[in-house]
Amino acid sequence: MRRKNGYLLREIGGQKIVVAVGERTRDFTGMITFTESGALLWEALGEEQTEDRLAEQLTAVYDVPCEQAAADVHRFVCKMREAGLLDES
Amino acid sequence: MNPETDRKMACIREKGLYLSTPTGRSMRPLFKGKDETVVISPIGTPKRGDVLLYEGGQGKQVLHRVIRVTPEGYLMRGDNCLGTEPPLTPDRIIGRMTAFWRGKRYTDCETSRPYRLYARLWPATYPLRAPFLWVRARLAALLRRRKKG
Repeated sequence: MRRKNGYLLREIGGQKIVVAVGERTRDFTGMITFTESGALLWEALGEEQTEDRLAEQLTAVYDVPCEQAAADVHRFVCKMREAGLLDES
Repeated sequence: MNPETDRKMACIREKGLYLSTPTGRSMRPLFKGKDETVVISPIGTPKRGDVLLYEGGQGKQVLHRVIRVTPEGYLMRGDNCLGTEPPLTPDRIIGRMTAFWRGKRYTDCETSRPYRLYARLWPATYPLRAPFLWVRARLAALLRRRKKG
């Protein structure tokens, strides 16, 4: 899986926010605010990823147990899937 | 107000801002419908030259510039538009544009000198641009009629 094209991560006032641009605005008119770790996962999803690989990248940066990282990644991926931001072909 | 408008206003109240993507051609040359994002902040006290996000006709959201402040409301016009709209009342305003990105380049509307100059000068060139805009509108109407007929 990877993130769909046509979305940009913007940073303002300490907030990291994803918005749609161009043609994608037809599918998505909202904005999603990320935490630092969420933004890291979003950036990583610029390439093909699995949940395991994403969890590894989280634990490489943050001092969290593997199980927590895996749970956080799963929750994140579910939210992205729900919002229609993932390409899982 | 339509639900989309309510949602954006709630976001501004809760988070202090809303990020929106301009679409369409009405705010060219400032926005060309490419990788642009605008920061919409609480309304404050709009003045001439400010760009406001508001609910227009049929519940659509519109991002246009204040041309004049009148007792009846704000007279609005897109940077690429011929006509000035009927007065906009504060109850239809979602927020005010305070910054934007074009690609990766960020511009703060309050502090950017080039932007402030543009916001002041571009509307002032309207009397020069209006005849060309009028011709363009006439040609577009003619082409639409020919397509239908």
